[in-house]
Amino acid sequence: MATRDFIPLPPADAEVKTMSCQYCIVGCGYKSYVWPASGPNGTPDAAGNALGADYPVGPLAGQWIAPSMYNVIRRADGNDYNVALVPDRECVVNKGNHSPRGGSNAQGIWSPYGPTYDRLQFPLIKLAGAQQPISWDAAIEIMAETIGYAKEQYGGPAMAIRFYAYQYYENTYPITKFYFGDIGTPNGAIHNRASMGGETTALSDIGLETWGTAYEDGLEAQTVVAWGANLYECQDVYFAEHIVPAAAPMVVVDPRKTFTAAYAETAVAGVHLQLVPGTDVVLAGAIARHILDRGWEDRAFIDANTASADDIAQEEAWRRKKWAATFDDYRAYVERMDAYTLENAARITGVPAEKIERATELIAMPNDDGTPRKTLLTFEKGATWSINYETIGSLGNLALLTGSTGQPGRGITRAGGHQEGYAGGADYPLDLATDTFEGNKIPNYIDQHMADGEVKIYHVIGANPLGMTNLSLRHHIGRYDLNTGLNYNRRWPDLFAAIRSQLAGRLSDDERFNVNLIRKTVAEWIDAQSPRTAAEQWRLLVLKEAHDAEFVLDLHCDDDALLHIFTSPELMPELQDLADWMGAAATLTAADSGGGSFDEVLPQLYRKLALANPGKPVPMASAAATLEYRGEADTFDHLGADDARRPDGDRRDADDGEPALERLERQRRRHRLRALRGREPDRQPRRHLGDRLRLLLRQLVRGLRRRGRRGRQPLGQGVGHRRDRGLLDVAAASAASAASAASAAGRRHAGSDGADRADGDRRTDVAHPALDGLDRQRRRRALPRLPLVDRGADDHVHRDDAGRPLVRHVVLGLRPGRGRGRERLRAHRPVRPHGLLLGLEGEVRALAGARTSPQRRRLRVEAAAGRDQEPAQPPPHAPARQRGRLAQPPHMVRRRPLPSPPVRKRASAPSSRPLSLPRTISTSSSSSSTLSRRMP
Amino acid sequence: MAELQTVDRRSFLKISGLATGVVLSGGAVVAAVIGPRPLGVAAARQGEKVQFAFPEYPDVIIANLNDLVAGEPVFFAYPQAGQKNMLVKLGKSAEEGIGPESDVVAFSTACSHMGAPLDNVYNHEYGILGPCPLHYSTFDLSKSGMNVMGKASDHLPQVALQVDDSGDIRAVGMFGLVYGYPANLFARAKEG
Repeated sequence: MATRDFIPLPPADAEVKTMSCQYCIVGCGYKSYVWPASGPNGTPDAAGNALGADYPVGPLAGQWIAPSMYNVIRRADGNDYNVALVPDRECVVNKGNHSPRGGSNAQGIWSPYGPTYDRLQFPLIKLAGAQQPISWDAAIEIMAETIGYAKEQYGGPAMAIRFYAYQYYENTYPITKFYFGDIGTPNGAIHNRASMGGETTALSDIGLETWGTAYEDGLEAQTVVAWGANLYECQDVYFAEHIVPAAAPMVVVDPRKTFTAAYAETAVAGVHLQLVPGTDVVLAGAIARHILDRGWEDRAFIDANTASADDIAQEEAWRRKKWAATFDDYRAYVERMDAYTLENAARITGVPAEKIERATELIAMPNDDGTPRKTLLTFEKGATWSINYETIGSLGNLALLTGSTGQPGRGITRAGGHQEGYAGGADYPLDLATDTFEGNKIPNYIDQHMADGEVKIYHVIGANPLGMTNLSLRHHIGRYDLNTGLNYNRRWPDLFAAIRSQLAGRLSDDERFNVNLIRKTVAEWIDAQSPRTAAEQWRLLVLKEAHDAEFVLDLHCDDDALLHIFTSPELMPELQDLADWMGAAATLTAADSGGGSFDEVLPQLYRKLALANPGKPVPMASAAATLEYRGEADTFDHLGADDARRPDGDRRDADDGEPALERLERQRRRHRLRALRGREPDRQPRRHLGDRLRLLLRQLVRGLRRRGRRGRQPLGQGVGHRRDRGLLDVAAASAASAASAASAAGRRHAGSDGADRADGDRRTDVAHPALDGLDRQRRRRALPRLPLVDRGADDHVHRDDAGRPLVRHVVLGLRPGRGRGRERLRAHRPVRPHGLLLGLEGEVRALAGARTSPQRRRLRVEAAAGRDQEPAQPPPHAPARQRGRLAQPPHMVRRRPLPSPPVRKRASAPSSRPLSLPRTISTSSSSSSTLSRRMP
Repeated sequence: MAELQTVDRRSFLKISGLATGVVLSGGAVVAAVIGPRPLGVAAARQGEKVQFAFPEYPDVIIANLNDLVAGEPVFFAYPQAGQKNMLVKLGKSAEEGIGPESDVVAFSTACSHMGAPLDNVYNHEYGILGPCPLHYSTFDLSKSGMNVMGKASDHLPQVALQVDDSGDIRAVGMFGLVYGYPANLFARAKEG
């Protein structure tokens, strides 16, 4: 942000509008002042400016315009205008207060002079591989024609719609009216859901509203509970203006010591329950049990408002029928659960028993005069994006137990989210939906219907399904842990160190026995771990999937590269066959490149075990490799289609016209692959004229340089593979950058690969016997000079203890001739490698169990599908299920004649269809996308 | 225009390139008379676009480097009376810091959120100013006053400092807008 030491003041006659903040759900009021940039500006006296302020103003005035509240825009008349978006001191919500986001409202609007200058001003259409601007009329005509044709040809469900529900009701009204009403498609969802379902389904099942409180309740409450919510930093103004002034004690449930948690423990007489992530249900259950033990429940409320057995018998909604319980049943359940005793809960959740007791007192202990304590229960992402249904259901049950709803100072509510409003122009057409769960119709899971080919047009409005949940403050989190910034795909554990003692003396002379024993021991070790961070948990999850697979393929996409693979030296030359199928330009091997790469973790184990047990046969039982599918910008349909054909290695049906996705899916089914998928941003290369020229220039320069080094070689000739040729702009640029990276890498090879590692001069040319062969290969096959990519680019520069960069040992020039090499490979390893998935969306991992028994593979696939079928179950890593102690808590259900939410959202449970897409693992924000798919 | 009346009414010092006497809050008086600064001295801040309406900030000696004790703030008004600032030796290098360790910095003590005085909330252990008594905003003084927690949407305004061979620390400009003011050099703003 530019540093300013002055802000022009709006003149008294400036245009003034009242608006609400564009960011969070608190909904602070702002005043927008607009006046010509050419002036005249206001003056600092009260009569001379639109704010009526006599400058300088004092603390809490709510009339100061901070630099971040000011911007310059250009309107359609071509003139520049000053804009000031200032917190509205007359607004009852914020009273002139603002958060860091709200104070920056003006920075987010379009300005020709700021970082927002490059926002689109025209519709773009992709023509001839490039995004071209067209007129609005043309865009509307194209959309109308296309949608009309698709509807006529395929029917309403051919349209999928994903749309935003923020800003104003006016936006969702026409969208839903058009798609749910006129077009009639069941394939629709708002921006962050898998289907048209709610975010707090359990709450609506119980009969409570998601937003069931007024701001005044915060000031009247005797206790404020923040469950998985960081009110100070995420609901700034609500917290500052409507909770802090009353100084009520707080109960903060959060694995992290947030500022809100610190506030609860130091500023007011509250308590912070620092639980182990994912144990919310047990904690809530323990609190409920303690309430019942002490007889602190609000009997009057419960008797008047919870369902009787008769009510439940007459229930029609299927989820309520399934989960509902009377109060007595609920009490019996809570008292039956061993996990809910204070001692057990303390052990499971990591929260000391006395803190649970203290929290229970704060939440439910009646006042001295016998009236129930006024408790305001708030919860947010920590609860909703964890084990959604059970957690929210448990909190809803707590609300019923304490009568926290519908009375001053008492209530339950979400505490967060963006501005949202949903006004349906038409109801979701559940009758058209084809997904079911246990025989009940549920809203369609869009992505599945797209994968099935039912959807022909995907209309995305104000949403980003590709990058969903992966961006944080405009940064792509990808495989980096949101809190620690750690890359979960590095620093894989050293399995040898972990299991060597368990294996001591148990290895036999039977190779097969040894492999099975090792795998079993690894599995036991994984199961015995209790991960402390999300990154550790991911590593264990992935390792669990991979530890007993014959082939482990880690599909990546580099920043800028040709196709290449990384693998272990022992696996060569077998895996070269795989590299050939892929058309890899280079194969890189290393026993240990440092940093703990995934493709090394299992080979390391077998290698070290073999070395440590010289008398016992320990084969290299895991063929692991990282497949780098070019650069992130190489997003071209024909490359993808070509790659999708390659994994099969089956050239016969290469050109039968089968769409790539369908072929991929067929292959996946045929080979019983389990795929885990993560994602980093797709970079759609911009192809404006200027960019093209720049690229061309770069190629020319690099081409000339290369030619200078290598003698006469025409530009573009250096690209490794025929199919890449013609993609001059991308492939040649990749080759050029690969070549330059290679020369850098090559310098380091001399250091790491040569005899003398301490040799300070790494600028000598690469000297390695293999490279002579490489030269010949290169000349013969027109390979680029040394198409390596520096693997240590951003997150994992491998260095030795002395800080010197380590680079993998390079094996090049080992391409066996097609015929002979094949035969050798067949003799050596009868099963050909397979198990690739299209890797163009970024980082993809395919974990193939090629040689495990068919029965086992089938079981595993079913298990994987089954996990995804059961929406109301906790995810497999959820402690509740891992420990096998917890049953589903039955949720008490409120009687019918209670107010239902004003905007009726159809409740949903996710698809019960067998999963045919690879399971998605969002490497960001822990498991949000997997979970949200299962538990909308 | 009524600018002069306003200035008189509020008893602002006139700043027309001349010197300013500045009273330290601790009672000590450090007055200095130095000629007007050339244009844009403070704009030398690296990597940041600085927009100054009035580059003629006063050049004022506020302390001597040799008198500073790490962790003991010195308060002074700059660029005008009523705009209180804090000079402190952080004990660790800071952006825009001066002195041999680049650890001497000066900041406005008016919270850039809603203007509460931050005079008494300096935390030497972390080199932060805060939490603010009103809404707990906290600023990192080694990172040019970045808001590290709380509600402010702007950095805490930082005073541009220079140090002489004699060790005299001079305030020569201001990065950012002081809370409550439409312009740091208020009297001049009115003329615009």
